[in-house]
Amino acid sequence: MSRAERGPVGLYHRTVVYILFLILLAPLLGTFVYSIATSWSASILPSGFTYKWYVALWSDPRFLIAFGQSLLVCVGALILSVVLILPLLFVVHYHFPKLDALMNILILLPFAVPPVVSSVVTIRVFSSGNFLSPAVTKRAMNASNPGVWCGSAFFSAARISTSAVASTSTHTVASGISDRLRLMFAATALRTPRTGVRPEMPSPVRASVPPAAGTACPGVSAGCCTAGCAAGAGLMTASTSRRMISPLAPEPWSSPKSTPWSRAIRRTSGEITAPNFPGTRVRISTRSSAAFSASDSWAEGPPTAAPTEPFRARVRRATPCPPGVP
Amino acid sequence: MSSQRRGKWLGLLCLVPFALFFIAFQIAPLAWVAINSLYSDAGWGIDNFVKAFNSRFYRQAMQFSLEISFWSSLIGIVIAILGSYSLRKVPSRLRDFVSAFANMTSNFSGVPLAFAFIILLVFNGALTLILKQAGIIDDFNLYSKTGLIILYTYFQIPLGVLLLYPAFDALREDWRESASLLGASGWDFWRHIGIPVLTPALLGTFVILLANALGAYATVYALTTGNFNVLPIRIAAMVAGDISLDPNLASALAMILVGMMTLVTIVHQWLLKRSYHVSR
Repeated sequence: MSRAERGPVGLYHRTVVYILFLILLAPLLGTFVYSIATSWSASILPSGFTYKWYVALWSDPRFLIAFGQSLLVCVGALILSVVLILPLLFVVHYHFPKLDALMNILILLPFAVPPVVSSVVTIRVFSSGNFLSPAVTKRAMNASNPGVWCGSAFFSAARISTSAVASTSTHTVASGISDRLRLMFAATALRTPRTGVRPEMPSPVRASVPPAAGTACPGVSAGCCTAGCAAGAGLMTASTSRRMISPLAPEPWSSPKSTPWSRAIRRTSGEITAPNFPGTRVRISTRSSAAFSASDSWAEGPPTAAPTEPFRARVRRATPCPPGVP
Repeated sequence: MSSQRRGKWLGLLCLVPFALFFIAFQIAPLAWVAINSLYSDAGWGIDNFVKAFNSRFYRQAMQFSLEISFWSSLIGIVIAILGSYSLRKVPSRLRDFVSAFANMTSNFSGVPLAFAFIILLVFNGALTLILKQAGIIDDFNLYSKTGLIILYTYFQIPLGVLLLYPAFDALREDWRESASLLGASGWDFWRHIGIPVLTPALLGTFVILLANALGAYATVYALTTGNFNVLPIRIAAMVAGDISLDPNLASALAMILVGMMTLVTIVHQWLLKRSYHVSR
């Protein structure tokens, strides 16, 4: 569905995208113009332009300290999310698949607790004189400690990563990585893969890899830290997405008997009413990627190396049956 | 076998740091709120909840919270659907640029966003002046409910685009071709194939946008300095405020907010399951 359209339809789509871009740009542009204006009030355009505000800002020690603190919290939360979530993902995936249900609840939890609640309560729980503080070293756990802020920032990041998870985006880079790993395991016969290999080239989804998320609004606001670490955590947890939506997208490739490529064959069907033939309901049924027969087995090796174009085209059609097909 | 078992133990060890963090920053605060919400001057009980629901002031906060969240999520998701669908249909250079830009702006919220809107849309803001001179609007108050809905919608749009863009992967071009070969019009295609296929993604995105809006605090606080009555403002005012300090009542309000979110999440999960079984 990602072909570029031409003609009037293409013009419509381009207009919509430009309007979207303008909507998103407007506040940023406004802020920027305001930041280089000498004075701007009660008029459509500012009275003059200057860069003195930037000079003033960069020579203000208080700003520099705040900037450093923001960066610290941002990078801290980023590292935390990578260090904590990445091992979790792989361990649960390989060793404890039964924990999937528990993981679903854990993933939903930060999402059910609004950030204002968790941050306000974090202050109360970890400020000195509260019930958790005597249990741990006072110096380590103080509400003003950057470590604590990193921790709470990590969970506001977890919330956003949850968003990525719940977005039913099965095609994420992270899931691509995990598929590749499984391919590796299977190919080197280190161990039998628990599930089959999804016969699908990982299609990098830009949405899950914000390229400049953290650098966008350099540390003037606390929001920045969420931004940066969300990018990381979003990427990391995204690979659990398949598990999250498992009630929607069954994993038909996990049947133990079939070979990996025959698992690719799954039926997609739909039912529509054809207006040209009143009163009839036509069932569309496509056996997608039937080209992969059972002969494409592991004996020939997994076709990882640079698939040719028609092959790729067929592989693309083998995406799992999308949820909710009528 | 023994090496596999050792691998399991090592794996379990890897889970410990995450578990500790999860308990310290997620479970402990939640437990703290839950316990404190049940305690009031009169002792243990549900007094705080009774008080919160009996007070017109807090009921108004709940109502405003829900209204703003609902409308901003709805407008946001509609714009995001149109935008992300069109995004897939434009040349890849434009697509890459705009989707990267949407990613960036999805983090543009809170204080800077409120500031940007103050520049553009207050009584003397640039955009307000332009619209006034064009004769489109007479007056506009950013500090009202409508203003807040517009502000919230702004940070909902990029998040919605971010979440919906991959969802359109589920729709395949050959379905549309098959449908039109069988005589289905564009509307028939969307009515019978497109929308049913996308429903889970749309629902999920809507719930996330709703949660995003319900919990938003910094944006509305920076804009109205706490003068607008929504739940997050009330909670923060009673926990960290300097006039009325009542952490127990705040905990009860927080639990109500958590309850709303849980309810929405459960409904969402239920709808997901249902749509799956129907599809079988």
